Amino acid sequence: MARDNAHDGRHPSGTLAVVFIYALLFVGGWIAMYLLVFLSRGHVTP
Amino acid sequence: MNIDFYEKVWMWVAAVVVVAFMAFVGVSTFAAGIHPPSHVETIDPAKVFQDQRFSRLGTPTELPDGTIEVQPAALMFSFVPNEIRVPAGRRIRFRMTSADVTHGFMVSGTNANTMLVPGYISQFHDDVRHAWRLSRGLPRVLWKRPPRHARAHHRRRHVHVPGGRSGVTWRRSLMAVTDTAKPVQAVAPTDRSGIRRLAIANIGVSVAAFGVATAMALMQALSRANLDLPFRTPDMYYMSVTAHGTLMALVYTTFFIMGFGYVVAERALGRPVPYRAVAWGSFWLAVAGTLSTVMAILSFKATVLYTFYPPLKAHPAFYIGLTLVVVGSWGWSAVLLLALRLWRRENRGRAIPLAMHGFAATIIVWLLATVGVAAEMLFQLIPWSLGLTKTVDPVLARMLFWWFGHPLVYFWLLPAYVIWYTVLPRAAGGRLFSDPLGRLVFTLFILLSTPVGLHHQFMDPGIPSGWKLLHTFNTLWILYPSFVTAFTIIASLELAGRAGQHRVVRLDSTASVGRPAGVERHPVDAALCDRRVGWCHQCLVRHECDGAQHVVDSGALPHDGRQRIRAHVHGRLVLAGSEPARPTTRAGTDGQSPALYLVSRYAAFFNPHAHHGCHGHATPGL
Repeated sequence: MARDNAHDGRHPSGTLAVVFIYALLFVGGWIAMYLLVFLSRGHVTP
Repeated sequence: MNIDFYEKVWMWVAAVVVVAFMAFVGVSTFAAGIHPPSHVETIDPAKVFQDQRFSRLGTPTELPDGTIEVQPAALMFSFVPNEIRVPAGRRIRFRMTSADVTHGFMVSGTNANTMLVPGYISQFHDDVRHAWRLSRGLPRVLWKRPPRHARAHHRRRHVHVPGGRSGVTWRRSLMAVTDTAKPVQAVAPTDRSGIRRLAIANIGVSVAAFGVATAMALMQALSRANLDLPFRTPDMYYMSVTAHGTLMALVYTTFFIMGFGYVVAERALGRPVPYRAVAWGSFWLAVAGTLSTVMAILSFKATVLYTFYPPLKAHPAFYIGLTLVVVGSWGWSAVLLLALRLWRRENRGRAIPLAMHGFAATIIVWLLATVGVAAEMLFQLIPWSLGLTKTVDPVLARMLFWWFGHPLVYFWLLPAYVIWYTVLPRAAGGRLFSDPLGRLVFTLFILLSTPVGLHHQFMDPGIPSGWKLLHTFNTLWILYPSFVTAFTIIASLELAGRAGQHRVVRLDSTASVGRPAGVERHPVDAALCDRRVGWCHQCLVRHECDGAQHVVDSGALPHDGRQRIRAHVHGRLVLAGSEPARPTTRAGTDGQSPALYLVSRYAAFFNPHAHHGCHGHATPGL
């Protein structure tokens, strides 16, 4: 089986930074859409 | 399983993000009482105008609690009545149904949004704070200064009555992941040649379907351009839409992936694909099905769009043909799974090569998904189109379709993941960051992909909101393997970049896009503009964006799945198709950077989604 990790002891710090930024944009965008667009339009109820 | 600490951190962050989204939706559901329209009540669609429950069409009625009830009914090209006026600032109860085919109803700028399915009554409450009306046969909403700011869209209007490198690198990349204490046996040239013919045959049909579908797209464009062409008729328009969607979504992709699968199986497993007779038989069966479907469409007997929602009815040849395509794909699935079984017998104790692991996951997702559409065809549409049954349940048909229709996109996507996990790291001069997590991602797609199709029916009547909430959560979890993939692939490139920071490769103009031939580039940059994996960038980036859109759909802005599908699929396929058209040489420059390229794709993605999806843009009328 291939080596479980191929990082040769060095952590992918740049990757972690990139995906954190991605997560922040993603979550921030979702929450903004949810609060500022969806909820601001008023509720729909059964 | 040895997982890097940073990747563990990211996996926890991804899980927390999903749980946070679920918490938002849960609080909205249980604390604020927000639900999508989920009323469960049936009606005879042939007697809508005689039914007492719709006796006050056009007359808003004040209920004892002060709510205003309105009862528009949907018909092709109009609502009945065309205009309803209600007092501003009052709570409105909408009770609606369709007297013919499936329609959509939405008041732009509000969350008033539902599907109108014949046989079912849609009902929900909304606060309309401004006067609005439906007028002139085309629904419009007045929003302060009419008519520009808001509209109720009649989404579906049908005119039909119900009824770097070289091929050596490529091969090595796939075979490298077979991992190996023991060298992989080379495949005999004659076998390779045989599988090449099979692959080319499948991909040839795929390309032909793409060509016809493209011509149909031109036909649509000419129709929408409002040119007074002699052949421009409503039937021609809907025929071209059906041919375009069916050939692109169901034929082009399926045949391409089948051909690609044969190549991956033979090269990753390092042994000939067995049961060639079954493989060829499956191919010809699928070809026969395709021809049957195409003939039904081109003869104007199956203008039901690629979703073929009843009560739009096609000629039986359309349904039977598509069923044969699916059965042919099952034969392909059986051949590849049997090839994998034989390989495991010959290689006991060895891990399945990652490329084949990924393709096996693709096949399993496909088999699970096609159960839904097979059931729809065999138990609903084929007997109904043959006259063996008189009625059909449109909501059940939609559910069975989306059981298939949503994981269909994972069937398209996972082969791209196979390339990303097995080819891209090698092409960049490195290796996959985490083999076990790659395997986990493919396995998670099997577990998570099939139960989520119901999120295309969040606006449907007849489905209780509890089921919709459950499927919202399912949909949110499908984010997780995509998040893990983002880390693993980027980390693979980062480590390849570190290892190759003092290396350069000379680009080959036939293998790269966006770079002039002969330029020396960093290996990672070269890999990112490699023509063979370029389309995977498109698929992955656009899929990640689409994942974002799914989350928005699931939690914030639910709307009819087909609106989003149109924007999403066109964004993915059309831009992926434009990839080879990017300039390969630029005077005085070495082309755009990969980062800028990916960002531009994000931007290109969000535009159609923002326009068509979030804003609920409707199909322009013919």
